[in-house]
Amino acid sequence: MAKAGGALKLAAADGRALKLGLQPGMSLADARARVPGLIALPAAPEADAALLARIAEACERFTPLVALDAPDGVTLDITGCAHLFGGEAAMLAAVSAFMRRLRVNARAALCSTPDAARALARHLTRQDKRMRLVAPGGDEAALRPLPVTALGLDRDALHGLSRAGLVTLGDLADRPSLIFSSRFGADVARKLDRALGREDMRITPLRPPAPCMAERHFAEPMLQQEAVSATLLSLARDVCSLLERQSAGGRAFEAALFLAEGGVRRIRVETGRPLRDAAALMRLFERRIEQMGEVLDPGFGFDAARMSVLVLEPFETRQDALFSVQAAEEADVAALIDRLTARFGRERVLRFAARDTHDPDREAFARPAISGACSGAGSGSGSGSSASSAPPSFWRMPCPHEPPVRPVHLFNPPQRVEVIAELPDAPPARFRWRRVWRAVALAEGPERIAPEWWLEEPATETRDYYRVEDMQGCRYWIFRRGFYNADAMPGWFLHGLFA
Amino acid sequence: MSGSMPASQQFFAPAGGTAAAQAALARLREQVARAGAASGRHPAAHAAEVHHPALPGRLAAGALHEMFAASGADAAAACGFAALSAMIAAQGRAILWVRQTMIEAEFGLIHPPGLIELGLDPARVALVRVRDAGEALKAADEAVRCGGLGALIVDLHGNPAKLDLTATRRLSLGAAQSGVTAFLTRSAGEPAPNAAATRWRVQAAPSRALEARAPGPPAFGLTLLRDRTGGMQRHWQVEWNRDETRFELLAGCAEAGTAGKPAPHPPAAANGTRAGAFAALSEPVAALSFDRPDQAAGGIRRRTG
Repeated sequence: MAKAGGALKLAAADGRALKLGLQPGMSLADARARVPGLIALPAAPEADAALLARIAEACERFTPLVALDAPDGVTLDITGCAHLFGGEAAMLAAVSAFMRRLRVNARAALCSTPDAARALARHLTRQDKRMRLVAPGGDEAALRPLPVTALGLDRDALHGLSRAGLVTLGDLADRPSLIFSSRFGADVARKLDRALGREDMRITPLRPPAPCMAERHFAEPMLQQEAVSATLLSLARDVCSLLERQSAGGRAFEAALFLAEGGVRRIRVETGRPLRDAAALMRLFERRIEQMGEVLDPGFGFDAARMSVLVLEPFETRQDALFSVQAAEEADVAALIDRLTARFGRERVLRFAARDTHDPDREAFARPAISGACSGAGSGSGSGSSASSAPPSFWRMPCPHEPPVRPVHLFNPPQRVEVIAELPDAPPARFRWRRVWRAVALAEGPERIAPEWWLEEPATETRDYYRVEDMQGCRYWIFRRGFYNADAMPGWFLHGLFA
Repeated sequence: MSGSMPASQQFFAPAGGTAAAQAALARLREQVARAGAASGRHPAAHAAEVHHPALPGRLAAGALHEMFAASGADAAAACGFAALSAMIAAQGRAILWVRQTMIEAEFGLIHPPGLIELGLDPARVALVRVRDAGEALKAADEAVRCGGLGALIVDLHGNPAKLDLTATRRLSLGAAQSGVTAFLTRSAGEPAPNAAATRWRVQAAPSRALEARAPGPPAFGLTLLRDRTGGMQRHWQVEWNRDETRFELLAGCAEAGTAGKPAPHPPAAANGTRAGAFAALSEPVAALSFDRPDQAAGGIRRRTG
């Protein structure tokens, strides 16, 4: 109930403390003098913010457009949502009931503008019983009796207004706004306009609204896995028919399951090509759920579910897929990649890409097979530079009639080996790798790979590579780092294994 | 239907109510036969056998093949042999490669330029990195049922308990239904009974030295440990010819134990029973250039020292 400042002051007070006459902002010493048995706890703004974020997330069951109104409020944009809950009054009651279930002591107001609702919710009267519904057009009448503090102005402006004898919003509303902007700054006039609906104002939702979504609300919390699956399937059908109407396909989907006791379980899947097949989408979700396992704990049950398409792309209907065997096979493999990605995550299902460099460590890399369609995912390693679906090919073609000059397995980092060479620049005669000495039967080299001096930080020193084969027939790619000189012996490393 | 049953079964059939019982039995037999036919090879997909022209033993398409690395240092050889077999089996279609991250730590990452050097286009390969054998088998189970895939390679480390008769049988059945050829490569593992169609031990073999004692093309020592279609343990030494996309026999013999004796003639098309299967193939079969020139004129000059 208390907070450390320059002096200790009360940051917040609970209902009983308020009844005893304690107010936030009062110094702790004063409060202790008035109430000797006061229990004061240090304020935890981070924990408060986390709680508010959890509340806001839980409120997404009512509408996808939820904004934080820090430090102690949440704003919901319910445009077009009220009919799902049986009208505005019923929705307001549902929100209040939900807050009580979360054991949050909340006050709610429903108005035409976010600022009006914000002001009204903080200044409810006793007969409002913690919630207030303002009919369309009634905003100004409802706001007029509120004190000017409801606008959330800074101290100077408040002080000026009180000295001018302006106490309620009604006093302000009657006067031309030009006066306020010249005397107290533009802030006062703008906030007043927003509260009274003279200026159009939207909230900035926590998540960008999805271009396409479907949702279900249940009278009873749903516990069984089968019921969850059936709900997801019917949502998938809805979403896919919506997509079909827009002649689009989705590249990233998210299912949000809302827990009855607050909290949300989110399941996200991505695909390699635009998808609008409900059965295929459902398979992806099943793989993902199976992989998540315990994470999808229903707790006391889910009471709402929503499926949204996060990334939309035009869907090309491919006639040739019916006739061409190759196209059908490619579609088959793409679907497999999608399923595997849903199961293992995008950074585990990979394709190879080449870089235009001769540094063996960098010339090839693996990137997610599903290339970055989802901007919000952010987990793809190395996908930023290779977002295009058809990367340019830098693969070096082998010389005909030559044995392989690059190994199939590459160690990164290279493994240190001990080498005995007959002459300083001769290929190794014997080397020890993994505690076994291996005698070299055949060797070729050196192939000198110099660092790329044009880079800002060249990665390596000059390396002399040898292909060597031991007596058993195993083939290795070994390099010597640096040159022989007076001070230091060069190091030898095993970089790869040939087939 | 009952008339076609062997006499012994009629003899052992119960005396009372035989007609109804036998009719039911016949129906069941018919169902079993139909199910067996249905689980056979995918009809349209792959008529050709995967084969290594130089090898009398063959790697059937739409089946599970197991390949053991003979030792730790031979893991790359086993991996390369699996990749080449998969490339032949895939016939231009996609290849899915499922790898345990453990293997990457132990034997290195797949190096796509090395695949190109073997003749396999990395663009056709998709890689799935899995943590353990359970995940690997799940991924393999999913992939082996995807008819659009050409071949599947699963790299497993050690002797995972999950790789039992049931798991391998699932893979075999899936492969037979979809026509996907599956290769299970095992590093640091011991052969155990399972449902694989063939089981091989792969090791690196000394290559034919090129000019200036340079290592030659990849050579493999192959031992066919087990073949479901029968036959005894056999050993070959083969060399991969990238330019002609086939294996060539360096040395081979009918039985293990006499390995290393060079075979004067590869037994490729000599077997008359498989002539029809060979004729259906588009790739060269019989012309084995055993003593081909080491390099083309104007090739890379060997240098050493």
